[in-house]
Amino acid sequence: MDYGVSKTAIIDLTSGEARIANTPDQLVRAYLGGRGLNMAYLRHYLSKNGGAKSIDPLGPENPLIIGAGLLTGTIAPNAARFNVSAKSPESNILGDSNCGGFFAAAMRKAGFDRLVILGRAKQPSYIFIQEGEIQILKAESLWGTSSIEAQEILNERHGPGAISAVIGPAGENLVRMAAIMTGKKNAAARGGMGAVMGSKNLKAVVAKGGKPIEVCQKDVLREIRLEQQKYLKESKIVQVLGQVGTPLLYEVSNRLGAIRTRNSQENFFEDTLNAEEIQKYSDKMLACTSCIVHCRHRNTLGGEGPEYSTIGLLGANIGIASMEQVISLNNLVNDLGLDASSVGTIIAWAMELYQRGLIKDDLTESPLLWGDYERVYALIEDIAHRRGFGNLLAESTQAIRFFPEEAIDYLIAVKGLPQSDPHDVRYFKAFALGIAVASRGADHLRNRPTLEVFKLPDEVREKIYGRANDPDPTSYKDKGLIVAWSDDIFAVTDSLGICKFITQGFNSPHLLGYEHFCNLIFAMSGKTYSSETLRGVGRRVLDTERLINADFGLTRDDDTLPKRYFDDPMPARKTKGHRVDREQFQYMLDDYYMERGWDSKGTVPGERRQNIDQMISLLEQE
Amino acid sequence: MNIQVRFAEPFWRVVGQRNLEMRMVSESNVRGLLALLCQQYPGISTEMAESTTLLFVNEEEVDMDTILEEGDEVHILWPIAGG
Repeated sequence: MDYGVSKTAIIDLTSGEARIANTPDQLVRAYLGGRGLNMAYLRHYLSKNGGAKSIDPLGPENPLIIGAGLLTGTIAPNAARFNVSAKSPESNILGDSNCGGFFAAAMRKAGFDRLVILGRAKQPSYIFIQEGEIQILKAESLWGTSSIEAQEILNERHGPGAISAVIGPAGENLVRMAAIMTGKKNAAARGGMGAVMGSKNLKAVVAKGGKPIEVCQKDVLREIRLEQQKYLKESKIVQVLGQVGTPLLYEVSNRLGAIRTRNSQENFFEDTLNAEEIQKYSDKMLACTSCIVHCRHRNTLGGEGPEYSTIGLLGANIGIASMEQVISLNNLVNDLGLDASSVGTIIAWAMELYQRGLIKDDLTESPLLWGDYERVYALIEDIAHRRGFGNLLAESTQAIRFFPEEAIDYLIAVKGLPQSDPHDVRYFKAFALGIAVASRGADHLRNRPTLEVFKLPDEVREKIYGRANDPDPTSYKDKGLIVAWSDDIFAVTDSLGICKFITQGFNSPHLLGYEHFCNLIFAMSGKTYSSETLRGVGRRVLDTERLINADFGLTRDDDTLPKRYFDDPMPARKTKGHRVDREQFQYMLDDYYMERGWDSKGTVPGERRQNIDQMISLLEQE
Repeated sequence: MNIQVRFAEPFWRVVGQRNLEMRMVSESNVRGLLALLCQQYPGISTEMAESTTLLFVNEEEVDMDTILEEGDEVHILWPIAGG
């Protein structure tokens, strides 16, 4: 038996009963925690509650799983993160969202590594966990409050050390792109997890820590932390992220001609959204638990952020060039509890439909023009409160049913999920493959192989990816190899609770890789892994996600791209003329499936499926 | 001839400003411009040694041998693309 026991609280809001289970150690070894174990639990409960396809994502039968990473809350570098998983009401497939901040550390210190929330409360409620105890409390007075107001009230009610994860009005109103928020900006945003929480009449989960997280070898962990901290602080990307955060990416993407602009009709925008403009509104850089990067701006308009994604999607993508206005919209979506990526993508989609005359004032109620800040501000409020035209857009990609059939041609989404980041992927072919195969839909944080940009020497690329590969980022060759490599290491960091900003492959060929993680895991838990067995965890997570999505009916045909990325060449700058060739894309997909060990239909081999399901069946004893 | 130079992160930090105007003899190339910049701002050579650099002249990505012309805008960037 390894050190420490992984505790899961299983909370049934319908009956008001809760119980605590020890997660089988075999599963912890196989999936670590965070995203990995969440996937095991999700597969189990989707099957137990009636089958993936038949579950209503906004019904009481949809499980909502909140899981901290194996290292979350310890002094391991940047170990703040947790995942929230359920059937997504936005995409109707696997829903999974990763978030930082302070909540997950508090959850573990309150005695729980994960919460499985089932059923639906009869009245607005919140969950309070402390000292290994679980209480379901009334939340009538909190219903209708913004995400920040709700946290302030709960903090005051439960005193110092209480950290909340809450929904805002968007989650309460079952907006399909509603987020779960903790702090002013940290969001489990992707896939509408906030709407799942709202459907359960659950306003918040409050964790009050106090119990130390069990660590097998504290001194060793401290030593490793100091060593890794020193190593990471020497990294240029870590230093720069600590100075300007992710907004630094805008200027580079914009220069290349790779910024999604006006719903990807264009590919570059104004320089007024460069990082230096944020500095005028930023008075401090903030961090999550145990973070050594400090990438988050505290803005002088009362919020935190924005990130590069928000700058792109609530800026260039909807034609807004004023940084002050973008920051204001950033603060608004966070306060209302919305996913900035989905909102920016869906509004841009609607704007293009309006531009093309496919939708008119009778539907939109008033003109919907690029760059109209006041209109966008009001529309975002309407989305969160499901008013008027906003009520239609609150359906996210499912709003297609209100629009003419050809509207689908202008939607920048994959598998029903709007693209997460502002990078136009038509140039870097591995980026395109990545969002096409990502298990939760169009998302860069599942596998973006950012090293494509660096023009690394062949020997460095070979060392990282395990064999020689084509250095040309615009070719279709070997992209399966590098996307699969990125899939695996990102799945491992998500399962450990570590931030991608210190993970090898995300903006740097250096940072922390498998060997570093093996050392951290050993110090934390006494569990020994080799780099290869740890990568095997990543592979297992990817297999499990593929199996979950297969149960939703997804096939190879769903691993695809928005029509525009195939058919419309990029219009300007260095990327001009680039698009994704449909035939070559199929070649990349074959290559990717081979790297993953899946068959040509993208199916996980039977033996691996059996092994996974055998392990997950251990949860039946819980 | 006059050349406009724009420094992105992290290069501007050693220069102290984002934009500079450099005077150069005609038919200078990018290599000559960078040598001049490194002479005036030695920190730039350290930054460039530590990181790959993306060089643009106006709309085009260029290499060291590209000849500059009066009024060209040179953009010095760090290649990065995360999210």
